Parts: sequence; C-alpha cells; structure tokens
Amino acid sequence: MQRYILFRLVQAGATLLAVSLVVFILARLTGNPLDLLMPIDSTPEQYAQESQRLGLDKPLYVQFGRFLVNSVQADLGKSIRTGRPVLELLRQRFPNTMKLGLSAMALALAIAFPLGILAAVRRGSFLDGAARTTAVFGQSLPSFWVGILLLSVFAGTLHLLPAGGAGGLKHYLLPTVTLALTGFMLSGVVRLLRSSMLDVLDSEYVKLARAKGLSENVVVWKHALKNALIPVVTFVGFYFALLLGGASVVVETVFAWPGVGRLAYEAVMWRDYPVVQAVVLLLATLLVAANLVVDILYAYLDPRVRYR
Amino acid sequence: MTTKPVAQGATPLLQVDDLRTYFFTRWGVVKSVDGVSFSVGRGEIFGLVGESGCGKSITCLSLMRLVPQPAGKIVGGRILFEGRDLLKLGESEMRRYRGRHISIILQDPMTSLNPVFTVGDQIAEPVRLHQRARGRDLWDRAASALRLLRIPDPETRLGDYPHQMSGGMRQRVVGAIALACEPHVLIADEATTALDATIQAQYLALLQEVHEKKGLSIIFVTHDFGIVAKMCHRVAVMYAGKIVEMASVRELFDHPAHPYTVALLDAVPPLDYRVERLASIEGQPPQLYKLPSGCSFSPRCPRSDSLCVRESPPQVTVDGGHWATCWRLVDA
Ligand SMILES: Nc1ncnc2c1ncn2[C@@H]1O[C@H](COP(=O)(O)OP(=O)(O)OP(=O)(O)O)[C@@H](O)[C@H]1O
Ligand code: SF4
Ligand SMILES: [Mg+2]
Repeated sequence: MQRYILFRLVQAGATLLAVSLVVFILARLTGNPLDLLMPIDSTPEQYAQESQRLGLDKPLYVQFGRFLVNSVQADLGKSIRTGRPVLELLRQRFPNTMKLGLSAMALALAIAFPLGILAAVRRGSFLDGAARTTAVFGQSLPSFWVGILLLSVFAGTLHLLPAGGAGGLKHYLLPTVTLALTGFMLSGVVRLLRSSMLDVLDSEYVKLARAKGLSENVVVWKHALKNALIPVVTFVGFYFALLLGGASVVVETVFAWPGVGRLAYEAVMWRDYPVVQAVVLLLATLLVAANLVVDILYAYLDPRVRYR
Repeated sequence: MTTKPVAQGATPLLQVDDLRTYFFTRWGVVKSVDGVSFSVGRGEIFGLVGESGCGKSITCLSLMRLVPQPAGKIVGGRILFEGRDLLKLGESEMRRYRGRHISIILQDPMTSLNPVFTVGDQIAEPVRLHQRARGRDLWDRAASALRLLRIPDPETRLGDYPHQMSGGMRQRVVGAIALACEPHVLIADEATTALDATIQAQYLALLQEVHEKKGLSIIFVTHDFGIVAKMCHRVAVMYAGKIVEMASVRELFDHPAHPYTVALLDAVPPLDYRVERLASIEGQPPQLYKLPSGCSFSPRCPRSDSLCVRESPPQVTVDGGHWATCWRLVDA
C-alpha cells in the first residue's frame, strides 16, 4: 500500500510538471503581453526595459526554469497587468469558484441520484424514459446559452434575480442551476448509475438478498446501491474537477462571477502569463487531488480494494 | 446406496399444483414452467433433474415467488405450504416465508454473496429480520450457523469479506445464510455444480447431516444422477417445462418408464453415476417459445410415432407413486 501511495505521488508530480510545460508554451504562443499593455506611443527602449523587468527577454528555458523553481517555493509571481501577487489573486478568487462548484455538484447529484436509481428500479417506465431524455438533453445544451437564457428571463424580463456578481444566496441561484443542468455531471451520473444499478439488480447476490425475505427497499438501497456506486464515484470525482475547470470559465464569465474561471478568462485576454499558468496549474492540481480522493473513497466502498 | 426412510405424513409440507410460469418476451411467450405438479413431504429430499434450460431454476424461483422481473410471471397454479397457498399471499406476507420457512442456495458461490458486506452481516440479516435477534445474541446465532456448516473458527470468520474466502467456503456461507433461521424447506439449485469433486462430496455430506439433524425437507436440483442416487428419496425428471416422469429413486433407476429418462440414464457412464453435464443425448432441447406439437420430446425420441407428433401424451401411472407422461412407455 505504501509503495502504491508513493507511486501515485510520483505520478501526480510528473503530471503536474507536464501540464506546467504545456501551459507555459501555449500561453506564449498567444503573443507578447507587452503588445497589449504598453502605451501605443512607447519607444523601443521603454519596450525593452519593460521586457527585461518582467524577465521576458530571457531564453524560454530560463524563464521556464525560474517559473518552476519559484512555483515550488509557492511564489507564483505577479500579474503582468495589475502587478498584484498571483497567489493573492488566487486566494481571493478560488473560494468563490469552489463554492459555486460545490453547490452545482450538490444540486446535480441531488437530482441525479434518485433519478438514476429510480430509472433502473422502474426500468422501461415513464420515469425511466424521462430520466434518459433529461440526461441527453442536459448534456447537449451549451452552458453559455442556458446561462444567457436564464439571465434574460429571471434577471432581465422578470427582475427576480441579480444579473451577475457574487453576494447573497440569490446570486448563487442562476449560475448554480446553469452549471448543474448542463455538462456531464448530471447526465453522466444518471446514465452511469442507471446502468450500473441495472447490472447489480440482475446479480445473484441481489437475488439471494430477496430470498432472505428483505423488503425491496432494503434490497435496492442497501444491497444494490453500495455496489452500484463504485463506478459512479470515479466519475463524480473526475467530473467535479472538470466542472471546476472547464465549465466554470464559461459560467463565471457569463454571470460575472469573481472566481478563478473568470480570472483565467481575463488573464488569457491580456496574455497575463503568470496568472494563466497559475490558474491552469491550480486546476490541474485539483484534478490530480480529485483522483486521489476517489481512490480513497473506492477503498471505503469496496473491500476488495481495501485489502489488496 | 444408503437406506433413506421418509416419514410420509398425511399432508405434504409443500404441494405444487399445475404451476405455470411464463416469460413474455419479444420473441413470444416462453413457457419455462408449464403445468408442473409435485409434492415434498416433511424430511424428504426431492430431486429435480433435467437438461439445461428445461425450467428447473425457474421452478425453484417460482416457489419463492422471485421470478425474474419484469418479463417473468406466474400465470397459474397453486403452491401450498402447510396448506396455505403462497400465490394468494400479499407481497409482505410472502416475505415472511422467504428465508424463514423456505430458503434457497444458488448455484454459483462466487457471485451469490454481496462483495461489499461482511459474511457476518449477510448471515445475521435474515436472523435479525425473522427472529428479531439483536446484538450479542444475533452474532452468536450467526456464528452457530457457520458452525452448523462446519466452518472453522466461526467467530473470526464473521468479520471476513467474501473475497477472502475460497469457493467452497463461500458456498458454505451461502448454506449458513439459508439455514440460519431453521427453515422447513431448503431449495438447493445446483448447489454443488460449481464445486470441485472433493469439496462437492464434503458439501453433500454436510447437507445430509443437517437434513438428518433438523428434519429438513430439501428440493435438490441437479444434472448429476450420481448425486440423485446418493441424496434423494424421490425424483422428478423435467423436460421443456414439464415433469415427464416421477418416481422413487430406486424405482426410477430400476424401471425407468419415459424414453427421455431412459436416454438420460443411458448417457450416464455405468458403475459410477457421476457426470458433469447430461449433454450426451442426441439432439437439442426445444426452444420453449416454439414447442413442437404433441409430445415435446418427439423430435428426439427413438420411439416417437404419428400419434406422439399429433397429440400431447397423457400421464400414465406405472406403479403406485411412479408415473410418466408418454404414449409409449418403455416397459422394464
Ligand atoms: N429472464 C428470462 N427471460 C426469458 N426467458 C427466460 C428468462 N429466464 C429463464 N428463461 C427461460 O426459461 C427457461 C428455463 O430456464 P431455467 O433457468 O429454469 O433452466 P434450468 O433448467 O435451471 O437450466 P440450467 O440447468 O442451465 O440451470 C430457459 O430455457 C430460458 O429460455
Ligand atoms: S409420447 Fe411418444 S414421443 Fe413422447 S416420449 Fe413418449 S414415445 Fe416418445
Ligand atoms: Mg438452473
């Protein structure tokens, strides 16, 4: 087990290193930030001076090496645009993303769990059809479109909810619903839970559980569910990280939500390398961490893993 | 062969009358159990043999009213347990019979235990449900169920997960679950088919022991005539959803009357009645959704004639409790 954990940590480190390199190069492919930042009438001297101050004149491998060394020491540099420390930006923005992500996941799971389970238990019923339609529908709706639609109805026409920004509970409603309904979290869990539940309900041990005289509720919610959840856990862990990463950029931008997604969007627009790199690294770290958490949960759910 | 005295009481413990279980599928109606009648006395071991797919398992599941849903349905007949028709009970009443009066051991020990719960949890479950035992008492009863099946060191084993046990041990656990509430009827649906020869012999000896100790009635489903000879008092031979011959074990081996039974027995190597599968008789069993007209066995029957193809054969009494459904019985 210890060897396994060590192996996983090394693997995680390698993943993050690779991600850093890729994002480092991609960011620089978009162009030079000074083209956007310097006043239109700056002289080449001023330009070179600024370039030197930011370290952009050094060869790429030196820049990358410095970025790595600093990152390991938790120094993520300063924003090129605003000059504020990147770490501070993240510390300020990340909790907002996390809160939005968690509430969206909670909503998605609160809908997906009963829907997936009931669809399997009443296979072929109206409810089953409805669940599957919902799943396909949700997954094929683009989140920016749903977001804008909800905004124009509830904030625009009805004036019921704020049009953007973070604040009270009211501010959470639209972005949470948008994030929860679109993308793969809701639809994926419904479909995965339904199919794994169907497999489990067909199994011999469920037959035996019924033969003991247990009620159908105990059979479904105790014997079947714990087994059916095993594949779902991996999915949820993985997609939560993706939800924080991918979906949040779009939804946070639409709803002007002050999270890291929006920060990333702005940073890319301004070619603010240190910020882009930091946000991507943060999200990659989350993804890796989510996978580790999934493994631990796995061991909790499945004794066959626990005793390996 | 040992002598096996059976108390033949006035009313049988379990009496099945004209049981019909059909599957309603896309391809048509599959008549998996089609008019099956038999009875099992107190303390009797009743054998059910036949080729794969003839409806043995579905008969067993029908007795517990656990036919695979939603396609399967018990469409007719009666299942009298101590005189009460189980088919007339409400679902919650029926649950009080399952695991308490009637229990089942399924074929595959590798898949019939839930992988995420301990063996102890799984044995204790029916005891808690039916006998309302709790705490220490519950755990003691679970341990003694394991002891009954001769699992060494039962108290420690209760904490094990199924994957920590061998196939033979798991099947004993399944046996312990089935016997934990001291049921009257045990259905053993090919309970030893998946075990290797030595483990199988041990398991059979165990069942025999429990049978004698507790006066348990057993419905013993198998492919193996060797096991029938060793374990059972009476046997029914099943073909395409119907019982085609019924007799005491002695009578069946000495004077088989139905051509199908004769073919099955001929397919068994002499001296040792043990075979893996009864696969060595000519031809394939019929598809249960498009049975031939007349006698279902006619396409494979060496004695078949035009009458057999035209009309279903009647049930003919050979001798006392020995009968067969055939136009042209084999006379011994
Ligand atoms: N879920 C189902 N849907 C449709 N038909 C089914 C279903 N389950 C069983 N059957 C049909 O019922 C018939 C009897 O099946 P059953 O499992 O009782 O056979 P068996 O005698 O126990 O065979 P085996 O020796 O292989 O266990 C099979 O031929 C099969 O076609
Ligand atoms: S009824 Fe005819 S076909 Fe059927 S088993 Fe008897 S002899 Fe054979
Ligand atoms: Mg079977």
